[in-house]
Amino acid sequence: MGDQNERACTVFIVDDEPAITDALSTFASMLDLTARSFSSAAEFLQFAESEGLPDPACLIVDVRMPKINGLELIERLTTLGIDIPAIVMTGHGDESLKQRAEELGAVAFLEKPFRPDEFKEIMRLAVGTENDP
Amino acid sequence: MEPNGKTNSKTLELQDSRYDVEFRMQTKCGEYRWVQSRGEALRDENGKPYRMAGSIRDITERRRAEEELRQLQEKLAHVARLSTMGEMATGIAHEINQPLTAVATYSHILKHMLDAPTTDKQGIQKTLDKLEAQTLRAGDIVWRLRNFVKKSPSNREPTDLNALVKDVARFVDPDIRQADVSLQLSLDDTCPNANVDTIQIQQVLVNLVRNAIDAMDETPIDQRSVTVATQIREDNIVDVSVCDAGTGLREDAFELVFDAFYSTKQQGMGMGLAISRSIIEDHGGRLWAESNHTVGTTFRFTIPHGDSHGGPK
Repeated sequence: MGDQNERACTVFIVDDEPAITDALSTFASMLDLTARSFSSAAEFLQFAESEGLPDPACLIVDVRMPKINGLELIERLTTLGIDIPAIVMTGHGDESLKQRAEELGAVAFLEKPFRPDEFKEIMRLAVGTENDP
Repeated sequence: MEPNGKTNSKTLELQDSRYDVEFRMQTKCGEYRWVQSRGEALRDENGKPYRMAGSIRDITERRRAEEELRQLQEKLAHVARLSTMGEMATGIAHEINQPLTAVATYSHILKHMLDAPTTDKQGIQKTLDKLEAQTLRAGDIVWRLRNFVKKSPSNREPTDLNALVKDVARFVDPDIRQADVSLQLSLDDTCPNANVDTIQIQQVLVNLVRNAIDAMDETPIDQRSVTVATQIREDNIVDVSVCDAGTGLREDAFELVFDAFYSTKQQGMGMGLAISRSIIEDHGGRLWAESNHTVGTTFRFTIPHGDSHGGPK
């Protein structure tokens, strides 16, 4: 990580768990990425709709959140025509969730607790996906 | 009287000239027997006692049967807690994975910080503090779990019921979040301590809150709410209620739900409410269901407090 494209990438972290948003945003900053955290899907949707998303950007979202869960968030973004590579995280992964995430076009599915190296690789993949035509 | 024999000191005070006491005696062959001695002083027209009348009964078998029943109830309650824990496993795993993910990430960040050309001591200290907090948080979840499923003899001690309700709220948080339910606590600050077995009363509350969540499966998400309330009543009783906004119970189900093996759910033994009721009654209280005026059901139980009620059995 660390070339011009990656440095410019903004990582949006959406999780209702403050420890996760704090740890991942610190981690993303460590990788020279710009990180922005949101504690709910609604909060992120409002931001994306009102301010638009920078390019390049990627989304890291937890599945299990109150009101609008992570997979519903991806669906709504697609409906709104907002295209952003998404990494889906979950603390209780099962095959059907993973399959659903893939169907929705998620670039990766991470089961908590994941290895930070694994996370770094997936970030690289997400950023790469964003830069591919 | 055998020195370790338990006596009921309250009835030894000879109120109204009567006494009723249970104690242990050692027989000639060294065996201990439980004995109940009851009697009263007979008085003449001037109120002067002139004779004692009463009876002495060997109640060893009754005592043994009561103890066996109590142990069986404890075993059943323990099995029910294990069953509840099994049903909650997915949510609990999720709950533990949160701090673990943070711990793994903070550790990685720290390694990176230590490899940096200049040492950011303040940053390292701050990250270590977060790491410590998340580790303790994971430990706390495990402690609560272990405490809930441990098998230990009933132990009643003065307990702050409001603190107990708050503990239960943390315990059921994974279920609350999973079901998109809002949990409200309405706690009466004037509640005195009650002499209870903490784990057993937690078990009752966990059961009632999880039932309340299940009752709202078909309730629109923005209307799903559970309120747990405590309230002190005038007659030395604390009233604890769990109110849901679910579909409500059928008219004939208000008592049926407390029958063993009665269940409207696919999962579960149908024993939760039966066991909960026996726990509450064993504490000298009552547990019942009532319909809300608007929507849903309230399960309510009472726990006596104070010296005159609820003492250890």
